[in-house]
Parts: sequence; C-alpha cells; structure tokens
Amino acid sequence: MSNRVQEILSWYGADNPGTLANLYRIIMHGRLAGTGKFVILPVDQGFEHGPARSFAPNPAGYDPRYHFKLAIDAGCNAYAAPLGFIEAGAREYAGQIPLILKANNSDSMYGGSDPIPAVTASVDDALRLGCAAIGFTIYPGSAARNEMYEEIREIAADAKDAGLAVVIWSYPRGSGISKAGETAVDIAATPRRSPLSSARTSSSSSRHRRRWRSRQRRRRSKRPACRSPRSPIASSTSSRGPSTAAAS
Amino acid sequence: MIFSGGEAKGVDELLEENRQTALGGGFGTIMGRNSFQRPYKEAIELLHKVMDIHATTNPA
Repeated sequence: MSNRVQEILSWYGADNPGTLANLYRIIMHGRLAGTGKFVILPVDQGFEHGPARSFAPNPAGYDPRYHFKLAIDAGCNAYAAPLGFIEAGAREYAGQIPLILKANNSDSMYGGSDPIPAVTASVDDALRLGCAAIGFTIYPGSAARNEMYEEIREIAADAKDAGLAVVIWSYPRGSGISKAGETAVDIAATPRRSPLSSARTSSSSSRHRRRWRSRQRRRRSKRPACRSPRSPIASSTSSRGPSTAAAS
Repeated sequence: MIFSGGEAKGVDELLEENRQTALGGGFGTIMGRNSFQRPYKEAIELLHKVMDIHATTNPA
C-alpha cells in the first residue's frame, strides 16, 4: 500500500474495518488506483433534472446499464446513482466497480428556493446491492437544511455500523444564501474531511441511534407496506458552482 | 474533497477547471453530464484526460 493511501486511511481512525475496507476498494479501483485521487461517474441527473434533459443528447444513456459500462470501461474509481439505476445493473456488473448508492434525491418538477430532498434508499438497499458506500446530498443554505443534517447523521451512523463508507454531496444553496454566495470561497470551502462524515463517535450518538431505530420500527409497524420509493431513473451530482463531495 | 462537475461545458474549459481543482488541493472530480452526454468513445477519452490531470497535478 502506498504511503499516500495509508495516509488517507489514517484520517478515518474512528471508523470500523468494514468502512475502511470499502474506502480502500474505492481508492484502489480504476486508472487512478493508489494515487489518492478520484474520478467518479455520478448519474442521478435522470432523477434530479429529468430524463429528457439528461439523456436526450445521447439517447444510449436512457439505458441505466450504459452508465455502469461507461464507468467500468473508463476506469473510474466508482459509479454513483440512485436506487433504481443501481438496481438495474447491480447484478449484471456485480463486483466490477465500487458502487455508491445515492440515498436521497430531489427532482426539478417542483420549484421553490429551498431544496429538500427525499430519502430514497436505505443502508439495507446498499448492502443488498453490494455497494461500497452510500451517498447523501445536503444543501446548507436551504430552510430545510437541519432536516438534512439530522437525516445524514442517522443514515451515516447506520452505514458505518454496517461497514459502508459515506460520501456527502454538499451544495451551498437555498433562500438563506445569495446567488453569489453559492460560489463564495468563505462559504463553499470546507475542511479536507467533512465534519459530518466523522460525526459519530460518542456514546450519546449511540443512544440517539437506538432511539431512532425504535422510532423507525414503530413507523414501520404503522406502515407495513412502506418501502423506499424505487426510482425508474437515476440521477447525480453536479450543478452549478464548486460544490463538493466529501468521502468518508 | 472531490469537486462536482456541473453543467455540460466545452472540453478546454472542463480540463482547465480540473487543473485548477487539482492545483487547489481537490482530490478529484465527479463528472456526470460531461461524460454521458458525449458519444461513448469521446466520453472515455475525456475521462482519461481528466484522470491524467488529477494523477499528475499536485497542489500549488
């Protein structure tokens, strides 16, 4: 293992061996294996921006499997997508590239200045589909930001308990922030490691997690048919500005 | 920290953005629309160029 890879893994001393092994899988995959650099293919635009806006320019992309193949053939470190897109290729391409399951998404059919994504996939989905990590989007600046922070705290704790890595997509956006502020260096700059991604270390968070789980069980018992919505089409990351994704 | 690609843009602009990201200490990029909206071979060539930039550019 190169010194650089060892150094990166050393930043995650609070995480368990399963999480470190999955992080290592991503670091060591593809053309950038071992360099400590990452190029990841994210395809959640079908969900986030709409299928025609995303895939009409190259209609082959309407087929979710196209993107697995592209990420594998290009030698990306990982492929990231929402539940429906991952499910569509997880069997055919099992084990061929580390997968990042986007666990929340928002679409563009409802306007408004405060993004509030829905939780669209679970840690269990990520495990079932052989993913190395879950991905989660937060919008600091949105009126709903605190809900996102609380959601990612909970899902990150569950993911790390299960030995998965966690990737945060962070876009400064919403009614609390100006257009210029979205790309301002004092707003968009973050520490090298996202504080959110390493937030779970104390015993109080374990207690909180147990309480959350029992709440989830109660919810499930009230709504036995409730499963995560399966999106037929998936999505991704980008948008305007120097938004960042921090891997944990 | 890995940078998010953003809207589809020209090759030169995209490569320059990646150079600047790498010089600024970014760990790489996630690149969606700029990959899959291009024809397959073109997308792979572009991804390789981007990877080479990140592999060879160290923070200033």
